[in-house]
Parts: sequence; structure tokens; C-alpha cells
Amino acid sequence: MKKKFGNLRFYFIFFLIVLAAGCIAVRLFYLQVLKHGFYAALAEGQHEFTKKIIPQRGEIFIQGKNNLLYPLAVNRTYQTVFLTPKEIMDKNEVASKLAPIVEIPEDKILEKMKDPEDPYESLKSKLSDEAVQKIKELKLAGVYLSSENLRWYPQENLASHISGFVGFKDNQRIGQYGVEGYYEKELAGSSGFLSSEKDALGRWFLVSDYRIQPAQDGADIYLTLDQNIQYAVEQKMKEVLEKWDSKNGCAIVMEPKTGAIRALASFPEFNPNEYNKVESMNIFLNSCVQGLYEPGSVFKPIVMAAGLDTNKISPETTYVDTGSVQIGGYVVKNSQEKTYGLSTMTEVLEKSINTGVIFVQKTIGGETFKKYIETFGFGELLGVDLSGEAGGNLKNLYEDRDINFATAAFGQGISATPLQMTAAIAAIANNGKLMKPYIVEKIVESNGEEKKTEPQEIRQVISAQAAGKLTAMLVSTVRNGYDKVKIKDYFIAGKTGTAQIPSEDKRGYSEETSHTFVGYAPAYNPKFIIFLKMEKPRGIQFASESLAPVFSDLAQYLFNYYEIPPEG
Amino acid sequence: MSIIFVLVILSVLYLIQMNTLVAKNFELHAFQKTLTQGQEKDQSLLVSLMQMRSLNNLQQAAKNLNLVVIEKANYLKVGLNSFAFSE
Repeated sequence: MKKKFGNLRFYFIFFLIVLAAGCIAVRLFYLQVLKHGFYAALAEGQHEFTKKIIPQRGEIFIQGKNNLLYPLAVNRTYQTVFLTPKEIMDKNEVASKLAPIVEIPEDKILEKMKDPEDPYESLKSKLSDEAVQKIKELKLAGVYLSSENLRWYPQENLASHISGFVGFKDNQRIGQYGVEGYYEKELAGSSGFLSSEKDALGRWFLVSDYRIQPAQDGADIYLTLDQNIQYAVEQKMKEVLEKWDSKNGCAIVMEPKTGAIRALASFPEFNPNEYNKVESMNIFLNSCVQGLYEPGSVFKPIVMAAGLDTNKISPETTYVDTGSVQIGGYVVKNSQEKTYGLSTMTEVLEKSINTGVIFVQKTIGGETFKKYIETFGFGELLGVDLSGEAGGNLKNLYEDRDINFATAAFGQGISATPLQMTAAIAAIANNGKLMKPYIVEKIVESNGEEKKTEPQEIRQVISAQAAGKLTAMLVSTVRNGYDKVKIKDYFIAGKTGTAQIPSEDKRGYSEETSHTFVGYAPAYNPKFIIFLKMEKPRGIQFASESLAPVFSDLAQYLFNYYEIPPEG
Repeated sequence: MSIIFVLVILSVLYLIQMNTLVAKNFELHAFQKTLTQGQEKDQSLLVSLMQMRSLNNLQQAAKNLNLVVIEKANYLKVGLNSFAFSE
């Protein structure tokens, strides 16, 4: 009997052991076979890490004299101070010690620490080196520093509309406006990754195996801009805008023979380091490239170019000015209602006679006139490498109304950008060849590969002979028309424009004007063209008074800068 | 017996190797830290240099030194009949 119970106990224990072993086997099968993928990933995650490698954004350089280069946009590591409130015991002490260093009131700092469970509160970014040092010395619990790589513009406001800035879009840092925006893809580069093992503290175990795909850093961009010319232009423009209480302006300096832009400034300007402090988004718009305006009399050389190129007029062609022209039901008068009598075409430009250019426009006919305007690049994009280029508006010319052709002859009723106007006049300077304006001299990839921009001719807009005659007429215009241009040792070709600005709230024009001066020198072998524009100046009537002195100063500066000897 | 001896030797070698590996790892971390500090200092100096070379700063420096702007350059005129002797 005893033996029978003994056997039963043996079988029972044996059964329990087998059952337990079976359970363990089933569980192991479940964990190791069925859930293999999950646990393998979990284990891997505990001792392996994958890190995204952020590429270095390419930098932007501006030129100086003698091929020197200066940084316009670079990358800089900034320190940010942040708080972990749940680790801070004496909040008042931390607030009082940090307040003078980060220049934030104590109560604001205390407010950031009000949630005791809060693990992270950013306090201030872009700390100065001194502030970082002081915070480190304090050794406060719950106060940490972290670094972030941000864009820095060492020249601050200089060429801000050219550089643009790196801002946020959809939680990503992205170049906006200017070169930063236009060349975002080239500057940004592409990210890589690093996959390896980490130690118990979560740090990369440096001697372990790793897989790496290096990031491809962004390309560096070298601009055609010359920082000395840019600075001189900006200073002069600021002075004149302040003098005549004007808020908006634009200045361009370009090489007529190549289209290389040496300076381009739009006003008001901004500091790209503090782009978030700008009051209106409109300030980011580059009025030289994106701003359309009615150019006024500065457009008259284009009409003359058409007349000369078609051989319908010559500089000596005369007509009789009676002070006004009747077109349909409209009467178009000269500025200040002046009458000049018998006048040559050269005098038409010298005295900026409206009826004179209407005479030329009528002589060549509406269709030809329209064709030349288009050929000069108006109404189309020039293809400059800057964000948001506008093409202009020639809508009025397509209505085929005589009055529209007549007003367009003196630059009203059509709109263009300052850059289009500059390029068109530069074509006259360049023997009739219209060049594509460009701002980037070369792009250097992170592997050292260089892509250089070659000057690009868009088309021959007028013959070299017509361009030569027109240059002589424009030299005469500066010599006899603008006594404020006081440079007598050089041949300078130029033209002013004082245009009425269309009314914002009703049809027709307001009393306000835009002033333009465009000129190139040395006229017969031009090294530079200067375009200046000022909107809504107060207390001065004509561009020949307001902008001619600025043009004169800048031209003299450029003669000295380029070491161009006097011509006679 | 000899197998046990070989195993002990191998274990000791393994321990030495692992110890060296971990020590090197710490050393690398230390070098990495020094490198970062050096890079930070380098960047700080570069930033100062760029700030000093900015045109606003140079303009101010020129003003402080009482430097004047060149209004007009005078060029030497060489006559058409001028020539140089050479020996």
C-alpha cells in the first residue's frame, strides 16, 4: 500500500516537473521565436543608437578689393540656457542669480519654474561668451547649457536683402529671401547617419563597430558683390533717404559688360540676425528685384534707342515742341508745362521733353515700339539668381491705344523693376548687348568642385552704332542737363526720371513721386552702371536735384576705387 | 590540466584586452572634450575677428583715428614724347 502511494507521489512530482519544463519551453518559444523581432529590437535599442548627422550649411562670402573675401553669412555655435524646475530646490535664489546675467526680470524666470514637475524650460538662447562663463561658474542645480548651430551675419545690415536669412518653416530651418532662399538646396547639403553601440551612460562607445553615412555639407557661395562698394552705396542712400524723408529706396551697381552685380541695396533694410524683430514682412521684399514701379523719364533712352536702331531718327533730327500733344481726347504736356520750340533729339533727352519722345514713338509706330520694349527685357524675368524676381507689367501696351503708347514713351502706365531698368540701360552701355544680371560668382561644393558663373548675353537689343549714338546723347544729357553731377574729367552717360506714383485708393496718379537716376561711366568703355531710386521724397521736386549729387559722389568713389584715370 | 591552464591564460588576456579597450574609450572621450573646447575657443576668436573686420567697426576705427576720405585722386600724366633710357 505504502509502495503504491510512493509511486503515485513520484509520478505526480514527475508530472509537475514536466509541466513546468513544458511551460518554460512554451514561454521560451513565445519569447525567442514568436516575439524574436520585438525583443531583438528592444535589446538593440538599449545598447545601440542611430544618430542623424546634420550637415554644415554652406557659407556665403562677399568680395573685397584685390580678391579678398569676407564672410556675409556663416555658421556659429550659440549656447542656450535652460532650466529643469523639478531639480531646482531654491527657485528664488536661481532667479535672482540668473536675472542679471540673462537680462530677464526675476519674476519672468520664476514664472518659468512654477511647474515643479516640468523637466525642461528654455530660458534664453544666443548667450554671449561672458554670460556662458558666468552661468558655468554659478554651478546651479537644474540650470543647464546646450549648444545649437545657428546662422550668423557678421556684417549685420549690410546687403541684408541679398543674403536673406535662415528662418523656420514647418519646424525646419530653411533659407528665406535673397541668396539663402534662392540657393537653399545648394547651401543646405544633405544629412547622414551614424549607427553604433552606446555605453551604460548612453554615450557613444567609440571603439565599437559602427556604420556611418557621412553628411554632405552644403556648398559655399561666393557673391559678385564688393563689400566696399556695397557699404558706400548703402551709406550714401541712407543719407539721402533721411535727408528727403523717404522710407523706400533702391540702389544697384552693376558691370554693364558682364551683368555682375557689385552692389544692390533695398531700403528699408534689416538685420538678418534679428529678422524676427522686423515689424512688417514687406521689409523682407527686395524692392530692386521684386518691386514694380513706373520708371518715368528714365525710360526715355529706351524710346530713343528704338528710334535710332530703326534709323527713323538721328541725334540731330528736329521737331517743333508746342508744349503739348493732343492724343484722342487727351492732352499730354511737358513737365512744368514748358515749351521748347524747335528741338533736336539730343535736346529731348537733355531737357527731358515729353512731347519729344511721343514724337519718336509716333515715328516708329506702336507695334515697333512695343517690340523694342519687350526686346529690352521689360515684361519678362531676367533670371537673376535672387528669390521672387518680378517681371513687370506691360498690360497697357497690349490694348493698342495711342494714349497708352504715348504715356509709356515717358515711362508712365507701364511698370518695371529697378533691376530691369538697370539691365536695359546697361545694354545701351554695352554696345546694345543685354546681359543677364547675376549675383553669384561661383559655387564651391564641399568636395572642392567649383561651378563658376559665366557672363551670359541674353540678346542684342539694338545695334552697336545705335548704342554709340545714344551714349553720346546721354553724355550730353549729363553735361548739359545736370549741373549737380560735378565730375568733369570723365564722360558720364545718364538720365533722371521723376515719375508720378499711381494713387492707391482711386484711379489716376497721386501727388507723390519716385525719383530715379541711372548712369554709366566711363561712357565709352563702361566699368560700372549706377541705378538709384527713392520713393516719395518730401521737399524736393526732381531727381536731378535729389539723386544727382548722390550719383556724383558714388561715381567719384568708383573712379577712385577702380583706379580709373581721368579721360580729359 | 593543460586545458585549464590555457583557459586561465586566455581569460587573463581577455580581461587585459577589455580593460585596455575601456581605458582607451575613456581616453578618446577626454580627447573629444579637449577638441570641442579647442573648437569653441577657435570659433570665439574667429567671431571676434569677423566683428573687428566688419565695415561698421572699421568705419568707427577710421573716425577715431581721424582718417579722411579720398575725395579725388590725382594721376600723373605721362607725355606722349616721354621715354626711359636703359643701360
